Amino acid sequence: MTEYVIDAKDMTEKELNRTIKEQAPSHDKLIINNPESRHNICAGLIEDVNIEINGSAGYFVGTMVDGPNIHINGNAGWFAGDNMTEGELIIEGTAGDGAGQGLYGGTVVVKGNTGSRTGEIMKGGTVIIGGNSGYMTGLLMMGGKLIILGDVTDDVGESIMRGTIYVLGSVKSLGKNAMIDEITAEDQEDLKEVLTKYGFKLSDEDYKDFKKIVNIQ
Amino acid sequence: MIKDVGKVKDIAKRFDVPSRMGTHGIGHTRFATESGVDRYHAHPYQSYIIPDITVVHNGQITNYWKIRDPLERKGHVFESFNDTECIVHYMADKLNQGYKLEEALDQAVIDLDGPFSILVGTPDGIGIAKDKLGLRPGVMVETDEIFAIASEEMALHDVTDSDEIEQIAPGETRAYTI
Repeated sequence: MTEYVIDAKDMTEKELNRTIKEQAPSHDKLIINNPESRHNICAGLIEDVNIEINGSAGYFVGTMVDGPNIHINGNAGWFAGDNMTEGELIIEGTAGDGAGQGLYGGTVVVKGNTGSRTGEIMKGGTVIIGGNSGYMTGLLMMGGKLIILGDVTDDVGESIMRGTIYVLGSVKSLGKNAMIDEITAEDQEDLKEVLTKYGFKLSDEDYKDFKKIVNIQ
Repeated sequence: MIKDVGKVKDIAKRFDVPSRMGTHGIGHTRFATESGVDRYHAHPYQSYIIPDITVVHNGQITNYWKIRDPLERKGHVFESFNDTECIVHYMADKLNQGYKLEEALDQAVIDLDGPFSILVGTPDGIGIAKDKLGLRPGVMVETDEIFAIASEEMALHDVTDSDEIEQIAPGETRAYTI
């Protein structure tokens, strides 16, 4: 396995992303140190490469990527994983607004809390939030799975068209066109499979407690 | 209050900011989307009724004239057409009426339309308010030594090593006094 270490400390965003794109095809793993919350890290990356970011990322980390597995040992700013088509983005800390926005495919995992509009206009793929999620979670959702293990605030699933939102914690209020549906054994098995894969340990009772939110038919 | 046009480091050097001592402060780097680009349109804006009320702001106040008209009738003198100036007069007016900082911020969230995150500096504290839909960013960190609020995490790491970043929620207000 070949690794390449990038010290981003004195790099501009463009220099950092250029280096990532130059080194990704010839290495299995890139380690980025001192990201210092720079924006747009890995934007548009289409290599199947493992990326480890040691520190926090700014806005739009992993935007429009197709293939890479990005692991952030820190927090992320607004719109993490925006428009991702394939790959993984795992954030050990918290994320700002719009995590998983416009997702077409792949998986975005935030271990901590997120801000507002998590998973807005997502069309496919899976977004998992280990903590709480803010206002209008799943706004205008068109597909995919959005799984929240903590609490959600107002207007969950506002104007949802397709896709499914699963919430283990409390739901303050549903948005327009959203309703709670019965969770099936198949849903529980699917949740167990994906959550176990990403290291979330829940009891069988927890899986029964998920609230399944879909669009009103 | 220091306002000027240029790079942050240059202005900090010009006004010898690092040598200034104090308990709290607010600052702003403006990317102008409307009105002039000069020191008069730079933030913070300051109230001339209560001189020690200052405001920095990210966003737009879309009911600007609806807020400004009644304030002008009360005697507030506007010196620009910048919407941030409208917020500082609004806050000064509320505080002048006896509102506590947090109460004034709560009322601001109700009265002001549009996307905004605002920071208000007073002689004994700092307040933050975010619009009802949460359309502008706001993050904060609080430790035993400091609390710091900024638009993004990058700015917080200039003053703390803590990664315990908290998102300011839509419509949320907070006030801290020393």
